[in-house]
Parts: sequence; C-alpha cells; structure tokens
Amino acid sequence: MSCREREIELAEHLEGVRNPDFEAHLARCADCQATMAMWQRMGAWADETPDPGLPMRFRQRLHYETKPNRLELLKWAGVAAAIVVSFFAGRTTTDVTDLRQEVRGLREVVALSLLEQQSASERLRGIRYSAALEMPDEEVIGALTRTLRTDSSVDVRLAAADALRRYARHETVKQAARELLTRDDSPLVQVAGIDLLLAARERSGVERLRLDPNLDPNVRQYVERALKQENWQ
Amino acid sequence: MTAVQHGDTRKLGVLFDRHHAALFRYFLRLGGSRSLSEDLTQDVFFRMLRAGETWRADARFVNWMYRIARNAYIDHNRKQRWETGMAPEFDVPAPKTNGYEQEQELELVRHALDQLPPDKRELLVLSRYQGMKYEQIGELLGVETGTVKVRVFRALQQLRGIYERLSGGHHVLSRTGN
Repeated sequence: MSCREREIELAEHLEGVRNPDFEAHLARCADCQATMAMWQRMGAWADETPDPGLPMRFRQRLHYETKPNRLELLKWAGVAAAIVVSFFAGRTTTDVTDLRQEVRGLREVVALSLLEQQSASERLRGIRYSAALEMPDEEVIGALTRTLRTDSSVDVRLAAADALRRYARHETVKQAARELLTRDDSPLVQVAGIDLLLAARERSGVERLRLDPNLDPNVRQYVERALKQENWQ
Repeated sequence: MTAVQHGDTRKLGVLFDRHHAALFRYFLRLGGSRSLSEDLTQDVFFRMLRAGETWRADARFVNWMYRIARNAYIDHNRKQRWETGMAPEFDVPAPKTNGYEQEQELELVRHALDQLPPDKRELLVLSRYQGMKYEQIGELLGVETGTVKVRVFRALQQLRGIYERLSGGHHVLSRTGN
C-alpha cells in the first residue's frame, strides 16, 4: 500500500487511533515521518491567552447592550433630524458654510462616541476618524489624550499616540506624553511617548529618562539614539 | 444556553468564562490580531443572544458556537474587503518563546500557515489547535468524517511543502518512502 492510500490512516493516527499496520509503515517511511513531523512542529505555536480584563469588559458591554440608553438614542435622533430639517427648510447656497460646520460637528460627535466604545476595534475606528478631522476641537484632542493615557489596549494607545503627533505641542498632549514615559508598562507605548516629546521639542523630558534605573533596555537604547540625532546637537 | 434562551442573559457571562479563551485562540490562529480576536470573541457571544432561537437543547453547544464563530469571521473579512478593497490585515504579534531556534521555528510555522488557503488553514486550526475530533469537524462543516480525514491529510501535506520551501529545505527528509 502506498503513502497516498494511507492518508486516512495517517489522519487517524494524528487523532490517536492505534493501528499496528500503519505504525509499522510509519517506522520505515520517511515521507510519512516528515508529514508527522510537520504536525509536531505546529505545536511550536503555543496557546496564547487573551487579556485578563476581557471577561469584565464583556460583562460591561453585555450590561450596556441589553439595556439600551434611551437618552443616547434620542441625542442621535435629534442630530439626524436637525440636519434633515435644515436641509429641506430651503437653505440657500450661502448657508452651505453653516451646513459644513454642522457636518463637521457631527463628525466630531461620531469620533467621540466611537472612542468610548467597549470594543477595541471600534475605538481604533474612532481614532482613525479623529485623525481624519481637519481641525478637531479641544474635546476631540482631550478624548484622544485620555485614550492615550488610560486605554487598556496597547494597540489603541499606540494609535492614539500616532493621531496626536499633529498636536504634539499642545500642553495636554505634552503632559500625557511625559506621564507615559514613567507610568505606561508597555515599552512600545513609552517609545511612542518619546516620539511625541521629540515632536514637541521637549528634549529635557526625554533626557530625564536616562536617570531612571528601571527603564526598559530597549527604550533606553531608543532614548540614546534619539538624543544623539543631529538635530538635537 | 437554555437559561440564556429563556431570558437570563447574565448566564452568557458564565459561557463566556468557559469558552472565550478557546475562541480567542481560534481567531488568532486564523490570522486575526489580538485586538481583532478579542472583539470577534465578544461578537460571537452577542450573536448567540440574537440567534438564541436557533439553539436546540439537544445540539452540541461547542459546534453551534463554532458555527457562529465561522460566520463572524467570514462577515468580518467580507466587511474588511468591502471597506478597504484589500485582504484583511494580519498583524499577529509574535508570542514569546524560550529561545532563538524555537522562535525561528514558530515564525516559519506561522508564515507557512499564512500561505495556506483559508479553508485548509481552518481545518488544521480546528484539528490541531482546537482539539476537535474529525466527526465534530465534519458536523461543523457539513461533510462526511472520511472527507475531513482526507482533507486534513492533504492540508498537512501542503503545509509541509510550504514549510520546507520557506526553511530552504533544511527540514526536508528523504522522500523515498513507500
């Protein structure tokens, strides 16, 4: 019997079925041994565990989604109605600027709402949405900064840091970046904080990091490299 | 699930505690990032709430759960393609390993799995990592158990071929078998 005819037997062997005839074949067949070795090799991808806070976030979302917030619904309905009504109320072309202003405001509301979602993907969407706003108001910058400081997901914090690069010189953003360097436990986010401070021309904040004996070695290396860059000399 | 079906939604939390880690790993190994896998895991349980009436007390819960999980993943990929016009993003960070060689091995295995067609990858994920029996997989995919065995074997052969190509033939054993 060739290996091709033994495909079912090999699959059963993977499931733990004992078959002396197949086992004798396996002992002398390099091809089947190589296939078995691939199966073993797949074990190199060990089990990973989700964030320990996930069950709690799920329960919060369950609570939130099974009890719809009527005020929130009314607010959204109100915004939508205002736009529809103003559109059909015979606005002239001179009102287009006002309408644009309202739409911009609506976009900001959407961005802020997404940033508050339980789901990390939705919050990432909120960040992308905020980053696309031409001139976000203080509230949006504040919400992004809050996300950068407190979000449970590293991915989300990194995305927030990226979106805030444009506003690096904003005092709230600078303050949040300084805090990241000492409080955030993710080296990646700390590096993002360093980038923010560099973008804000805050050399002293980055230099102070050198004194921290507990600084992650990779972050320390990054700091040294950044400080040596020509534009800082 | 029967309690959830009768309106006790808090019991969904108990089901979540029991099954969320396995579902998270399922999505992760199908190619999702950690945050996407966590989102899809939650999504499966919210879909259970909405699809409660399709649950039958005599059915195998895990199979019903994976059926919903497959649909959630398919819907996500469809939405992603529609929104970006691109294939879904793969940004799985490398898990921690004990040494350089192990790390290299893991990278190769993951890259080989990435290059496998999605249906074959899923079969190997279900059988190798999720620990599902062929009979259960057959029930989930709507095919005979014998078909599953043949497909698992072929998927594994293809994965081995990709792996050997990626590793530059270092792991190739002699092909002179019977």
